[in-house]
Amino acid sequence: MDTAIFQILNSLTLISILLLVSIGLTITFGLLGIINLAHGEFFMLGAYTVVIGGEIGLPIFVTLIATPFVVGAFGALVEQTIIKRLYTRPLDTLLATWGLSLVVRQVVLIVFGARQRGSDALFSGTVPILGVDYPAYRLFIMAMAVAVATAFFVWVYRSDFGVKLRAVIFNRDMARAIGVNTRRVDRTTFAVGAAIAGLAGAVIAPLGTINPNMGLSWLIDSFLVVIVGGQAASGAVFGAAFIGGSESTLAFSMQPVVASVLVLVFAIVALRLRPQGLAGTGSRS
Amino acid sequence: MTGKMTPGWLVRVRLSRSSRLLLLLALAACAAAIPSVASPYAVSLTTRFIVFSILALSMDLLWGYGGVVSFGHAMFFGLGAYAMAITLTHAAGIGGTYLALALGVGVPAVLALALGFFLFYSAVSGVYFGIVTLALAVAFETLAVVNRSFTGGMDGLYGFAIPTIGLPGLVQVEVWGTENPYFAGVIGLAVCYLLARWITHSSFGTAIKAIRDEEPRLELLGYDTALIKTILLVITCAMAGFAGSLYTTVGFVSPQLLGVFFSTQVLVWVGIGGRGTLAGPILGTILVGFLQTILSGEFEDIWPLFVGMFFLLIVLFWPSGLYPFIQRSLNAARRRLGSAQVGA
Repeated sequence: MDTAIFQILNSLTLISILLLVSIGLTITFGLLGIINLAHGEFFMLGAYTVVIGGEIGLPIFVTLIATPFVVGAFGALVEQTIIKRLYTRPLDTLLATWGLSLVVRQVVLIVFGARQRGSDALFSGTVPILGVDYPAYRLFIMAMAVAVATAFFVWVYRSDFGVKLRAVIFNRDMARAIGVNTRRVDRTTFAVGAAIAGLAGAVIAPLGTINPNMGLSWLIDSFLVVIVGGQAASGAVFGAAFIGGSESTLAFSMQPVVASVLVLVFAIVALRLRPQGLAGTGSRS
Repeated sequence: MTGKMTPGWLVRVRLSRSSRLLLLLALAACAAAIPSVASPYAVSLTTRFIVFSILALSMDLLWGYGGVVSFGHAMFFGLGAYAMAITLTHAAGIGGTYLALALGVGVPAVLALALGFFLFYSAVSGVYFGIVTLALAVAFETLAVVNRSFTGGMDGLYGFAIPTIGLPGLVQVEVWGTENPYFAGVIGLAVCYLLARWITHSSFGTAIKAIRDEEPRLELLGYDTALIKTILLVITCAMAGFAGSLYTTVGFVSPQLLGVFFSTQVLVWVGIGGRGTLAGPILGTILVGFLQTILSGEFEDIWPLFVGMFFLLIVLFWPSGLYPFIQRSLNAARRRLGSAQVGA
């Protein structure tokens, strides 16, 4: 019974992690339609911000709060210098952001070295829940995932900015005609996507190892989530539940590598059967 | 995706028939002379670049002509290499070599067919293909590392039988050492180049260029664009697998061949050389290849940085690449020369 509860809690943790990582991508890819292959590097920069914060002696909660701003600023810079030129060329965006991700990865490698880093968690220890003792930090990650997802929905559906954003997505020319500064909406939205990716990196960092190449696997995971879930705002929730659920269930009975390959095959088949994603309604183009 | 770039296939140096023939003969003479003048190391290095050129050529057919961006094209090259090496481990001699070659070309082609069926026939855009191939390349590289008994893991595969071609009982040539793999590579590249030339000049070639430039219109005209793209993918992946099979005679079969970074480098070769031209990818492979040999010997960490910057360069500032640039310069020079002669 205890193992079953542990198993359920662990898959909830995985789902929460995937949700945290992919919300940023849902914003840039799902809503704006920008394919950002440097998403994993934003995540990695978030993790490194925490490492640097720890090394210069800042309290962890301060770096956690600062990280989204640091990475968000970098995201705004990237949007202004690279993404801006490529809004009508999706395939070139794919290539340019991939080039950017290589550059960022390699610069971090040269500056910080290839060795693995770790970072301290905000708190440690376990708390009793449902009759088992479960690591408190994992529960914190679940809470963060719920909080960030909620904030994201409020931002898109209840804020003034969200109205402008949805107007731009719905009809860019009409939005501009009624006075929405679409350039600003693009830039802000991209920066927020990057900021959330950075926050996810900072929050998840203590659970794993931190190195310059960590971004790639997170990039793939979050794209799988968005591919399976669909580009709608709620896609990340469905996708994370599907990918996280199946991966943790499969990993129970086979090699983790084989499990992740099977999940990838699921995603490819899902793309054929349900191209609009689990949450979507229309077709994508 | 072409946007501002001048399609390379529109700019063509006009050479007369005899000068073309001369150029071709000169090229063939150079290719034949290299093993007798260069050091064995230089010959092996050149053989590698020739084999990589075949890979780049197939990538260019897919990306430069067909507009399909794949981050896993090297995966098919690596699959070809693994299929060849694993088959040769179990079956030696001429029969084994032909079987290995067939599998080296066939296995990637079958995977390409499956991929095309799932992705091109789905109602999702081309960027999904790029992302899925990226994920697949990572997965295949990891699988090759993990399944030690089958692939040799990180150590790669070695000690397989020497590939032997010819007619059983009559002629037998062992493709091993320095010279024979070199000539195998040169012949392979020539065959693939002619095949690519034939494809791009056929009506099928016109169709894939049209898909690159304006897919919805072609669909409206009644073309089965998913089928055309699937055929293109199968052909180019089979070609990549063929290059991988040739690679087993000069290089080390290891998981990196399947991986994303290698695929990324192939994109750079094609992009720098000139996508949408046939000579561009070959030129790009050789130039970038030598540059990498020089640079990564000195500073290993710097090379991926260069690769990343090349990407930004070919997307943002220099989409046409080197070969169209050379062609334009040659044309301009000839015009100047021509007008100077008229003036005199």
